[in-house]
Amino acid sequence: MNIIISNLLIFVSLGFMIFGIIGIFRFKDFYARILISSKVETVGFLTIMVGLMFRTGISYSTMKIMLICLLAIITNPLSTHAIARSAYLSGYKTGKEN
Amino acid sequence: MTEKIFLILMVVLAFIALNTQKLRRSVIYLGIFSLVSSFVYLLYGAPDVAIAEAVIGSAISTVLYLVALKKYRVFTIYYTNANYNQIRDGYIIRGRAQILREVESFFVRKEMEPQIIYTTEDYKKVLAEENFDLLIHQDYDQVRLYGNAEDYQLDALEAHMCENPNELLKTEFIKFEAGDKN
Amino acid sequence: MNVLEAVLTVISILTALVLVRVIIGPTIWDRLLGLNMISAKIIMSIIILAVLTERTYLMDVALAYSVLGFIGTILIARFVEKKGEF
Repeated sequence: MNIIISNLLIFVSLGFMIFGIIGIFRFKDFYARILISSKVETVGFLTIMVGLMFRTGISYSTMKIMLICLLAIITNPLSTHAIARSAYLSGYKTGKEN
Repeated sequence: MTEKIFLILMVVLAFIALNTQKLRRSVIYLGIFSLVSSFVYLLYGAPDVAIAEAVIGSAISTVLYLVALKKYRVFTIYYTNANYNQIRDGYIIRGRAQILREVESFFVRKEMEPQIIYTTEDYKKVLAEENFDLLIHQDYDQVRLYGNAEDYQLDALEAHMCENPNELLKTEFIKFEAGDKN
Repeated sequence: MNVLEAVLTVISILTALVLVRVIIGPTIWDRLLGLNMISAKIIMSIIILAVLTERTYLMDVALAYSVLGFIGTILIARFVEKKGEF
């Protein structure tokens, strides 16, 4: 039963990641691209981690995966914010919205 | 399959990092290269090498390359004059000195090394072929400065020129986008 | 073929697709965005490999990378923002 739930969560997260890849090629605007990648990538990362936790069961490695999840929740929006702030303060303006 | 894809990615990244024209882009490519190579070490069953590569390649070498880019000091300046044959030597010494002395003293004040190259070729040929940071083209009292739009030192030079303008010479900045081909 | 091996292959193909955006990206911030995405994907791949081969000490590499990996991104972003200073 655990294996089935884990496989389901892993496939859902692969779907999220594929949507993120489509997003960074679909949009012509830099700020739209960074919005798509930051949201969708973080959700895909957390979903695949929860799926792997179901697969391993309660053990020593589950705590390590949870620690990595905590670090990813902190650092991923930080670096995305740093990139967007750098682009905005350097005066990178986009044209019309599309 | 995974192993083959990551090995091909490593070759592609190393090739791009060597062939790029901007050094800042090369730092990013080398960061991705060390990331991928760390995973390839893990695939070959060497976690100790992989952890050393992750720490050194991502954190320390990026900081080292950025500090080295900050201290990059040599600045190549080309100088061309439109009417080279019609002017006397005294005029060359006085007239040429005016704009070049300003630019040179600006760079010396910023602790950089200006490397000035005088050439008699046409400025369009220099613009198309040579590898320069700043090109000064003088036509009597009309001075044009060509530079790259992403160069930070040229922004500072333009601000300096706007603050204390020269009465005799008309200066004009022309910036172009270079490096679209990586 | 195991499910996790297939997932590893798909993630490596997605990494190759992000690399295309890194190469053709018009500005330097697109390249930084690609660096961020590739680093997240590599951390995922390391944990999948650790679960697949049942060697849990491989997760220490992912831990070290997720602590130190974002320092490079933030430093390059500040380097571009401050126009050559830190």
